[in-house]
Amino acid sequence: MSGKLIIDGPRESDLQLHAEELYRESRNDVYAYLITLGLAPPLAQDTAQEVFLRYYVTRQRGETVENPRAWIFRVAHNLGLNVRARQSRVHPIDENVEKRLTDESADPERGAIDRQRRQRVEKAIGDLSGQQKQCLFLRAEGLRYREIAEAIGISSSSVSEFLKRAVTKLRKAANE
Amino acid sequence: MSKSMRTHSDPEHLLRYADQELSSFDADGVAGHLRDCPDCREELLEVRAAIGDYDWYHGNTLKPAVPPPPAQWKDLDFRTVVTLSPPPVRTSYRWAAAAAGLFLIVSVYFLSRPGRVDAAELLSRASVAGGAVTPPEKRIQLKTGSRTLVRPARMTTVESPQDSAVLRALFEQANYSWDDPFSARSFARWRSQLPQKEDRVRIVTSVGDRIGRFYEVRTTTSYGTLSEANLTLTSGDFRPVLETLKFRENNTVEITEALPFEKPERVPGLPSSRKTPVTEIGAAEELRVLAALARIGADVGEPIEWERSSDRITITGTGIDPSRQSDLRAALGSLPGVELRFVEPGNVTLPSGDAQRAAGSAALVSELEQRLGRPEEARAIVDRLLDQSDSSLLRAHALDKLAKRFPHEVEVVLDPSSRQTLTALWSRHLQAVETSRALLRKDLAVLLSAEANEAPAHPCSAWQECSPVLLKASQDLDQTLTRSLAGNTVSTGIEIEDAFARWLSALDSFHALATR
Repeated sequence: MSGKLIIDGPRESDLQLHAEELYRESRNDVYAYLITLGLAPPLAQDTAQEVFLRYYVTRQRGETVENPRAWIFRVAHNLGLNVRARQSRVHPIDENVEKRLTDESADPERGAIDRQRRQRVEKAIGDLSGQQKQCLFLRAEGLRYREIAEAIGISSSSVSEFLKRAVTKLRKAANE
Repeated sequence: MSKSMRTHSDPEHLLRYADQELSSFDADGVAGHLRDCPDCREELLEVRAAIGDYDWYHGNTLKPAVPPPPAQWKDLDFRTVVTLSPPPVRTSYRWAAAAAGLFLIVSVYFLSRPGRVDAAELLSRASVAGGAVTPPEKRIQLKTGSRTLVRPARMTTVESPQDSAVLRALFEQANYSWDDPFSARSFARWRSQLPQKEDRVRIVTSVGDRIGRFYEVRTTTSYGTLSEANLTLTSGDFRPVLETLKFRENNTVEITEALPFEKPERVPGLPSSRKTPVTEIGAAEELRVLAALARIGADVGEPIEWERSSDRITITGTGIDPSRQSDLRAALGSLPGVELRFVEPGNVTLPSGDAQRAAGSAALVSELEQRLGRPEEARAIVDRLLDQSDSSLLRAHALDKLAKRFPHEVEVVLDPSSRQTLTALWSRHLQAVETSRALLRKDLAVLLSAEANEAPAHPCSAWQECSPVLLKASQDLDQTLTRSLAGNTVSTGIEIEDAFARWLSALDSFHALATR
């Protein structure tokens, strides 16, 4: 066995710097996404770190990644589902959101921007399907439809369909 | 597209327009329509308001509600990922690249953080894992300097291969098991008796020509005649793949598993009574036959069976027409050890799928016809659903058969080329099932007026483990669809939803493997 490092592509140190930069920029977003998938915080944090190490390994092997941010969400999604299946229970994010909504009910700023409307929309968001929520989340993180599709393993047209249905429900809630 | 733009834009188009997801041609069409249509402009405002509502929620409610990470973020530890050989050869199969990660399946949190890696724990787990017991037929290769010795991995008698006395003495002097040197248990036993030692455990992503995730344990000591031992284990089942023992005075012994049909280098003095014939037909030959069948599309959906014995692979085609027989002869004729047989079918006649479908008119189909107002469209949807279900069931059968013929323990000892062939074969089946996924999902959404329920991926650690689960889920889905759509059963669609969710879960298990 040889211990010699053979890297095809960018220099090793450049790759590490790049991976570290991506890690610093996106780790909290990936962590948040894993929490919304139902992972317990310690597992979500470990999994997030694992995602970035895998990114580094992938690049180290000489593979190109067109959109690193989309790539890490795709890997986070798959890894997250796998981890979720192994953990003893799903940790819903919604409990925390509910608590926060209650805590903020007296927020004057919220009152100024039509608190009731927001609450109706937020309730409607809570009622969306898991896939609709995932599509909205990843869209809000800046992923294109094609990238969302790759991340969660569905077709691009399904992403469009899920988003349309979600938006229809949110519009309905907002206009009630 | 331009025709639809003359009518009002539908919400999906407006959403895609707002998200700049339309082609420039379509976007120009929508923009042109919006200029003349106040209703659609109003609609667009509402779509934008709705996505704006979500974005506000995302940034101001959801993200702040996420509990903070329980620990400070650590720097990425790149020392845990080291490439020891050149990158793998890329193939044109999408899943082949993904399959490089098949060995990565292990409890994600065990050893996932460098700080948690512990040699004693790893060796302890490896000593009781599935791969811990050395099978009697396993052979190992010991290399030291220019000499190579092939012997049983576990010596069951006091006899040793001739000319190995010096090597044996080296092991015994170091108190390292000569009888079973290539095992985590022996490594752990040696390590535990050292009064002074230093350990290092790291994750490596390739060993020799093998790609995947492996754990490498290194123990160094100033005690005794063995100064350093390195053991590399697969991450999935902790099987040893490489061991390097560095004795003092520059004697290094490298141990690997000897491939089952590999002709060993002759070692002077070693008995020459190997029983394995050079022409033996093995897994590699069988894979070549399967690859040849796949190239002409004869590996699935045709009444062709194969059987491997020690000296031949018999291919039997039942009721194959003459022109197809020629294809098979051309594809397989040049392969060694292949016997091709064609037989005529018996008198048993099975009802065709179409005949079964015509037998009933299910309530769900009637509802769909009424809802769509176009019976022919409803029938087309039902036919597509049943066809896709048939097709994915066939693939799931083929995949499962492959998994049973080449279980994980067989796959890991295949030569690199055969492993690549195997990966390409099972990936091809899976890709076909993936195609069915999109089509089934689309038509089921119309049939049931609902999106498919999601379910967590079924956990499995290798594609061979995922395959039977997918087969069972495919059988259930196919039976449920046939019963609900082509029979007289009254169904509300819930059964179909559940069966489809289970099927998706089984299919997603491969995705979970693929990203590792």
